[in-house]
This record gives sequence, C-alpha cells and structure tokens, in this order.
Amino acid sequence: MAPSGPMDASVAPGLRDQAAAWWDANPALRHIVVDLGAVSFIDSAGLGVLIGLLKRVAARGGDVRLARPQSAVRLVLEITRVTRVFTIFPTVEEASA
Amino acid sequence: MFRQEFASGWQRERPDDWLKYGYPWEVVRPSETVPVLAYGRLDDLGLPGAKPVWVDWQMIEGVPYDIPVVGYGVNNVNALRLWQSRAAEGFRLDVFNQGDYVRAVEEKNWAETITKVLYPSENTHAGKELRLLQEYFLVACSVRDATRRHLQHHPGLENFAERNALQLNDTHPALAVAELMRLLEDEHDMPAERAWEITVASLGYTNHTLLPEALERWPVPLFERVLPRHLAIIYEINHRFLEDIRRLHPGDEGLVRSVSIIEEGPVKQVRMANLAIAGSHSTNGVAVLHSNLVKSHLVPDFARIYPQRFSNKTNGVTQRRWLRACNPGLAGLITEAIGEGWVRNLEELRGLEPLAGDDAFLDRFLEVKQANKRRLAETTAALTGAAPRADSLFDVQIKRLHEYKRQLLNALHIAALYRRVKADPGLAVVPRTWFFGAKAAPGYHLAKLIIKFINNLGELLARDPVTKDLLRVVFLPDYRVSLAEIIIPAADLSEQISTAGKEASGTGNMKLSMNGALTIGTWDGANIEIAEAVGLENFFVCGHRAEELEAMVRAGSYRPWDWIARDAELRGVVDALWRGDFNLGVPGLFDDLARTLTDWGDTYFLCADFRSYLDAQQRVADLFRDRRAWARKAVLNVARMGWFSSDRAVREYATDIWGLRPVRVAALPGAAALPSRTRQMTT
Repeated sequence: MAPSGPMDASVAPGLRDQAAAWWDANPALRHIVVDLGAVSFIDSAGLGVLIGLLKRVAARGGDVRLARPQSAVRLVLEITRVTRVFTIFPTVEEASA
Repeated sequence: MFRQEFASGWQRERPDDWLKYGYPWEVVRPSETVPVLAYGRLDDLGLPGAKPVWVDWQMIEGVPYDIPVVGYGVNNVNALRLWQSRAAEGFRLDVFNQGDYVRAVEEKNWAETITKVLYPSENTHAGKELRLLQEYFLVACSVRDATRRHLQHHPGLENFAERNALQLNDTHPALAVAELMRLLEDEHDMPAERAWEITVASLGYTNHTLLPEALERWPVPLFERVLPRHLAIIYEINHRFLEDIRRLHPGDEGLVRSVSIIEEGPVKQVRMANLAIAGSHSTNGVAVLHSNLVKSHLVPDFARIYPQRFSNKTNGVTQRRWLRACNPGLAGLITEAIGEGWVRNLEELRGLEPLAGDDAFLDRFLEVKQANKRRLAETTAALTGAAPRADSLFDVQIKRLHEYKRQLLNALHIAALYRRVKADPGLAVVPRTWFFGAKAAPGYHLAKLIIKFINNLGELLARDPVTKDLLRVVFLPDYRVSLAEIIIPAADLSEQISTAGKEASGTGNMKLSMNGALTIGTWDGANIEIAEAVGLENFFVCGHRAEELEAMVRAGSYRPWDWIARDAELRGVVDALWRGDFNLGVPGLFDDLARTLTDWGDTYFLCADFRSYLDAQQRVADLFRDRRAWARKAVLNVARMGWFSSDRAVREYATDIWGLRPVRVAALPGAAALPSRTRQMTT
C-alpha cells in the first residue's frame, strides 16, 4: 500500500474500506508493506486505519510492516507506542525482504 | 489574569488582551513546532503479548515564540520560550468538508483555547479540565524541546540528566515527571528503571505554598480521560516507589498511604506534590521558615525518607529592575556614595552603612524619597482623581488579595484610627495615606468583599471633614509590575502582616526594604531573614509567631471572642462592622467580614494579632515624627539588603541543585563596534 498526503479523518473511512476490500479479495496474501514515504501527516483516524489493517492481517497470521515514515509521522508512531506492534523499516525493499 | 476596575468600590474583571497590539520582542519559530497528544484510551488491540497502544487521541500543535532575555553587561542573550496552541494539520477537516463549518471552527477554536488564558485553579469542572490540559500542553512542549536540543548534540538521552536541569516551579508543571518518563520509555525504548533514574536526576521541585488547598490534586477519572497513558505511567511509578518504601520501612502502612502519589478515597486523586517530590532529586522551599515548615508540617514523611533531598533557597529580587531602573533617584545617590559595583554585587550596599550617621546624606535620601512620593501622588491623581498629601506617611500594602495576607487587619487598623479621631478630633495623629494594590481571584467572595470594605473606608475618610486632610486610603486599580515600579520607591512603610506560618517567602517585602521603606511585619516568610539582616531595631515586628498560633490550634484554645472581649478597641471595631458603620447605607454589607472574625473562627488570627499590630503601628507613627531618625533606619535597611538579590538566589540554585558553574561568554568579533544598545542583542 502506498497512501499519500495527509492520512487523517477526511480520508480514513475510504482508505479503511478500500484496504479491507483489497485484503479480503486476496486471501493468499499474508503480509502487507505500507509505504508511508508520501504521507505528510497522520492523526488518530489515520492511525486507526493501520491498526484495523493489522488486526485483519494478524488474524490470518501475517504482519504489517511500515516503511519510510517521514519524521513527523514517525514521531506520532513513537508517541502512541504503535512502534511496539508494527515493525518500521527505512526502505520499502527492506520491509519487503 | 484580568484587568481590574472598580465599580462603586467593587472589583470588576475585564479581559487583559496583552497581545492586542502585538508584541515586538517575540520571535515565532514555526520550524520547531511540536505535536502534543491528549485524550483517547489505551488499547491492547487484542493481539497476544502486545503492549497497549494509545488510540483515539487528539493532536494539538505547540508553536514556540522566543523572547530574548538580555543579561546585564554580559555577552549572551537567553531565550524565554513561550508556547501557543493551535489545531494540528487536518484537524476535523472531515467535519469541515462535510459542510459543518461551525463545528469545524469550534473545534479549531478549542485547540487555540488551551493557551488563550491562564486558567485559575479553582473553577468549574470544565475549567479544571482545561487547566489540566494547559498544564500538560506546556509541559509536553517544554520537555520535547529540551530532549530535541539534547539530541542535536548527543546520540541519545542516556546522559540527559548530566546536561539538563528541569526545575518545577510549584506543582503546576509536575506532569513533567510522567512526561519525561513517557518520552524515555515509549519513544526511546528505555527500561523503566533507567528512565526513572534519569527523570529523578533531571528534575528539581520548588514548593511555593503551605496552604493545603493550593496543592494540586486531580481526580483520577478526569486524569484518565485527558491523559490515559500518563495515568498508566503514574500507576507504574507509584507501584515501584511504594514497593521501595515497603522494603525500606516494612510494616509502616501509614507512611505508604502518606507518600503515595495516588490518594485513595471515594474518588481517587493524583497528588501532584507527591509526584513532584518522588520524581525529583531536590525539593526546596523559598525562605528558611517556609523550608522548615515544608519538612515539619507539609510533607514530614517525605522529609523522613529523603532528608538529603530537602533544602532552602530563599528568594531574591533583581536590583537592576527593583532599584536601579525603578528608582533612579536613589540609585544615583547610592552610586555617587559607593560607586556602581552594587548593580552587579548587591552586597556592596553595605558600604552605605557609615552614611546612616551622616545628616547631609540622610537629608538627600529624604529628598529622593519625597520626589518619589510626589511622583506616586501624581500617578494616584491620574488614576483615581484624588491626590494624596506627599508629606503624609505612605503606608503600602501591595500583594495578591488573600485572607492569609491580612489586608483586613490593615483595614481594621484604619477603622480603629478613624474611630479614635472621631472620638477625639483634636488627637495628634501622624498624617497617613494607605496605598493598596491587589487583585482578588474572581470567585473569591471574601477577598472581593475586603476590597469593597477598603474602598468604603477610603470614601468615609475622604468625605469626613475631620479626617479628609489627615487620613486617606487609596486603592490603586489594576495592580501590576509597572505600577509597583512607581509605588515601591515612594513607600515609607511596607506592610508584611501575613498570619505567621502562611507566607512562603514574599518578595515585595524585599523590594520595598531595598528602596528604603521600613517594614511592619509578622515573623513569617522572608520577613524573618530581612529582620535579622537589617536588625530588629530597624524593623517593626508584630503578631504571634507560627509556633504560638499552632499551639493554640492544637490545644483548641483559640476563641476570637475572648480576644475581642479583652480589647475594647477591637470590640469597638467589630461592633461597628456589625452595626454597619462602614456600609455607606447598604444593610448587612460587611456582615460576612464580621463573621470571619467571630462566628467562623477567625482562621487567620486577626483578633489575636490586632493589639500587637496596633502597638507596632503606634511605634511607626512615633518614629515618623523624627524624620532623620526614620531616614537613618531606612538607610540601614537599604545597606543591609545585599543578600536578597536574585543573583544570590539563582547562584544557589545553579550550584546546589542544577550543578552549573558560571561560564564567561566572549563577545563576537566586531560586536564591540556596534552601538552599545544593540551589541547585546546581536551576540
């Protein structure tokens, strides 16, 4: 996944539905890499999308990996402690490895 | 705070929009904006083994504004960093996009409300919540800023305590304990034990009040709603802290209850003073008596378990503002006599002592005082329409309006004098003008009633042909620093008459004495150290001491009626209050003041101290008749105030608590070529 722009309450519902539909339509998938490199801002609704996705993926025994968060986004991930449940990678390649 | 006006003698609060015309010194630093999260809840996401994460929070942004603080005659400028809250990017944009513009703007305004005004501690539930949020916002911004700066020069926060000192100025920023812990644990993956060591080593706490109602407590349900992660951290801290206490003091559950950060009860409370003391390496009071009372009465159990953490740092005031800038006449006279070294080293004022015996110097000292009194008389006329006699004794009480500070005792003295003069119009009374400057908290009924009482006394004295040229009362509206700078140089007498054991230090007492006012004061706060420094013979001590009052409380023997019955003049004043002699036609107006002195138990011992205070006031009046004898004592006050410089106080904090040494900062090349007024700014 490669969302871009602000990941906030204005886009969260659509993004959540889109991600869920895509995940359900691909039952063979186990892991997701979310490329955050183009995400400029994240609020609690945006974070909720990632957490919702993690719950779906975990139910299938898989993992959500976050790649390339900008410093402002990374700081929010650290403050909220979601770095304890997601693994964060500096590049998409490393996250996909 | 608010701008104070009087309407028919009552305080009226008006908004104080100090940024209405902008503020030229502030420099906004948008690139250093920080995010602050609040509200929400902790959720373990239902994932096995996962640590709870913080979800459903709201984000506010803190925008820094720097105000340069220029050192005196040195080559460096510090920045005072203030924070403004604003809605974070994307804040409720969904609501806005859905067309609900009003709600979107309301929520944006809400974010900006956090730093709109300083929220008073006592208020409605909503006010309380905003105050907690405001305290957290300011703490979060400052802690983030300190760690960000540290990380610019160091690879991590392991050595944070060696390079940073955070001083908690009262309990209001005590959340810094939990915030620094959160930052170290959650954002820097530090083990809790190590995070705690760094937190305690970084923080110091200064207590500023012995009044138990002023020690902040937050209901746990409110705290949990606003700061869920911080509450969890405080529970963790408290658990470890109490385990240590139980290990070191087995079986002492009373001690555990007393020092616990969480107070048990129908509604659990977070005790911010306990959080501040447990979470810092140093706790200090701000005058010797106050620091001793902190240990013996306020938190004796903490003093027992951490005796090495407690110390005293008596407050000080800066002579650059409170003598040199506000009183150029006296500053010039001093410099002419002993040179200008006192501006940097106030102890040099000691050189004035021999001049207390020099009549020519005393006369010049009196001339300076008289000029300052004329200036205050002009200011008073401009503000109130009434010009006091500049040759009268200027009796000054300027401080927050609170019952324990006993402006009412001062007013009772005025009422007593009024009654004496009315009973004997030929009585030889020293002409006197009382100056009051004080704001009362908007919801503090008795404080506002005392303001009204003082204003009524002023009107009575001004109306009465027997007293109007002899005794005057001036309540200057909107007391603030710029007004203090005019009042203080003009004061003859400094009123420092708090109930002994209640005033932490006071600094007005220092400013007034440093400007050549004599003090009438109780054995309280820094009055004690001032009296000892200037000499008891140059200070009018009055009232009971703290230990005497405590003995009466402990024995249950204090009955104000007994003191009233024993003293005919006090009885006369209290009866006059009940009778409505000062009401100016409004029945029952001051009944509550009479009740505080009688039926409600006279909590602040005005009746017990009334006679001693009036006797001391008589000694004041007797001395004032001999102008040179008065001036001699006033000069000795100025000469012996060197220890009360904030330079000394700051040096003690730096040396004893923060572990700092002074460093000489060299001027930048070329700086000397600039005009002297701009040189400091550019370096």
